[in-house]
Amino acid sequence: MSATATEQLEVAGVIASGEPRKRRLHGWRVSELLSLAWLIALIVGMFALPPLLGLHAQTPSVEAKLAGPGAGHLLGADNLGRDLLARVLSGAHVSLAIGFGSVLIAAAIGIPIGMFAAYLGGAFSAIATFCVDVILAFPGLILALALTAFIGPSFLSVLVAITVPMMPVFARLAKIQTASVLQREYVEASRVIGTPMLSILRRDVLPNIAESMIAFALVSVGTAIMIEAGLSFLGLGVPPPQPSWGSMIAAGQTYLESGPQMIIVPAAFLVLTIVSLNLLSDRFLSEQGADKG
Amino acid sequence: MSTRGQEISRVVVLKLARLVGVLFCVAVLCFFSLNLLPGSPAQAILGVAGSSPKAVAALNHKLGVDQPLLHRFVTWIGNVAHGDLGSSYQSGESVAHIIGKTAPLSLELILLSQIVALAFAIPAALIAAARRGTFADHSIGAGALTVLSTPNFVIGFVLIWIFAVGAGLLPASGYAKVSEGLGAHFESLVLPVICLAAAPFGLYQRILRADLLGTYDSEFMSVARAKGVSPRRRALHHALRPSLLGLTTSVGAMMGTLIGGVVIVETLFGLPGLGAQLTEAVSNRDYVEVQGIVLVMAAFFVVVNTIIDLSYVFIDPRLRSIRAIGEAT
Repeated sequence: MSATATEQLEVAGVIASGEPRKRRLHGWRVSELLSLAWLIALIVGMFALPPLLGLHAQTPSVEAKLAGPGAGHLLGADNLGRDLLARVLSGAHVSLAIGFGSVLIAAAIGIPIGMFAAYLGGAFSAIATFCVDVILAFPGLILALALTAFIGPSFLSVLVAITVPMMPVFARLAKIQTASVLQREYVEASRVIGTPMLSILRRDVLPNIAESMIAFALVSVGTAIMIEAGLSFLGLGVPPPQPSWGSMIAAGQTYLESGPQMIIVPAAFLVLTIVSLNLLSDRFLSEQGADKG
Repeated sequence: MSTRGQEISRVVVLKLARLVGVLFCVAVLCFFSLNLLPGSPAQAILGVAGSSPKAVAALNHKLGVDQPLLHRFVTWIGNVAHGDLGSSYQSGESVAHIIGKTAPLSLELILLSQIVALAFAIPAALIAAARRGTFADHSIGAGALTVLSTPNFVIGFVLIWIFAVGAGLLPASGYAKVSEGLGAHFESLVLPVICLAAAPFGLYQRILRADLLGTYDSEFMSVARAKGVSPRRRALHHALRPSLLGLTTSVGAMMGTLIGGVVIVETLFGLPGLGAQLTEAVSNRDYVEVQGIVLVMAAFFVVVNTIIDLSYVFIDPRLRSIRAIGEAT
């Protein structure tokens, strides 16, 4: 395998941001605390608020048509008078399930493949690398688009379409990181005394690559949420009536002037969520940088 | 000298061989994707309801699906090698012709947005790195992270709001051909290009800044500083060049993001490019056309990245030896 463009980018993206340490509150930056607070509030809110406030994502109402934010509808209503808070929270289920789901599956399959490839080398590594190259030849969104087009839009097909292009990226990153850990002396020593492969990978390698894998996973959750939003913006996401942030934004296109809240509300949720994930990912990176520096 | 020449040509041959292998497998995947369709391709194209078995059989015959799989594949890949990607079910037009008609606009968009992203990211990274830890650095960094975290269609709406709806300066959608005047043509591309350039700008700024900081820590930079070289000269003449490797790599990788971005941005702004064509083909269930466009996009992406990969061999002397390549393998 040669160090191709994407591979180096991933390494660069993950190793790039070695920030100097900033002011911290018990070791946490203010921006990171806010990010964590937003994600927790979103997850708690999407389960707790609808029953608490009696919100319904699908109930239309003639008088609330394009209503601005107010007492009746906290964040306003859409062109059919459906409550935007209810819809955006219902969309959060889709975004977060697909975001975290696809990354968990991709990491669970990709990371072991990458670790084995680095340990075993030879034919296994060559074949795995070639498969990775082939899948990565398709630009992410294009592969997702083609897959949903051919399988037909549903929650499951969107999940598959986003997971498949993500797996090889995890494999590639895990392979590079594992290869560098395997060169350390204590791993050599462990090999010499005959520790079996699986326990070397589990006990010596995994803890050492975990931090950068978590950092990359958090960025990937953001990317997955962004691709899901893109697909549903194009009308190829989770099919209606289930609202999703991307399809809500697409629906607001026609009401740009009369009901801007139809775009502002889902767009704000989308951007805040992705920014939060990226900021938290940076935390793992700078922790890592601080350890090494 | 001859050995170095031989090494370079060996590296080039190896990379080209890999390119051919990857392209072949990409074509195989594109071909077999039609078989992912529930039922037969004809049934999927005609829709489940309202298709008589006779019509399905006729279309299957027309698509050649009634032939044995291997036979179909050999015919198909032979045609692809000759530039024949089949014809659109919807319009009957040849897919290669459709691509030839729509791809130039998409290429123009990608090229312009790469230029715009680099033109803003390089100075922004230079300023941020030279003033590390200052307010300027933090605000540029926050800006880069924000645009990197914002989907391009959201950026598109913000732009439409500000420039088209609010100020009425630029067209919100629609496309002016070059024949309608160069001014009108570029005016119709301003918002789409800004929209596409946002994410690469954010990434390039972050990567170049980090690489620059690494360079600033090296000894020759301290020497330059001790010699009294001005900060501007240090940044431009000393630090920039050795920090460009990561940026070059990400320009190639960003091509993939931009190809995806083109699909969304062209649809959003109503531009008749290859991306909008793909969205239309997908919603028309014109699978032969989808297959052809995806194949061409993937091939473009792989070829561009191989060219960038090869360019290192010529740019960076450290990567010229077989050993260096071997270590990366």
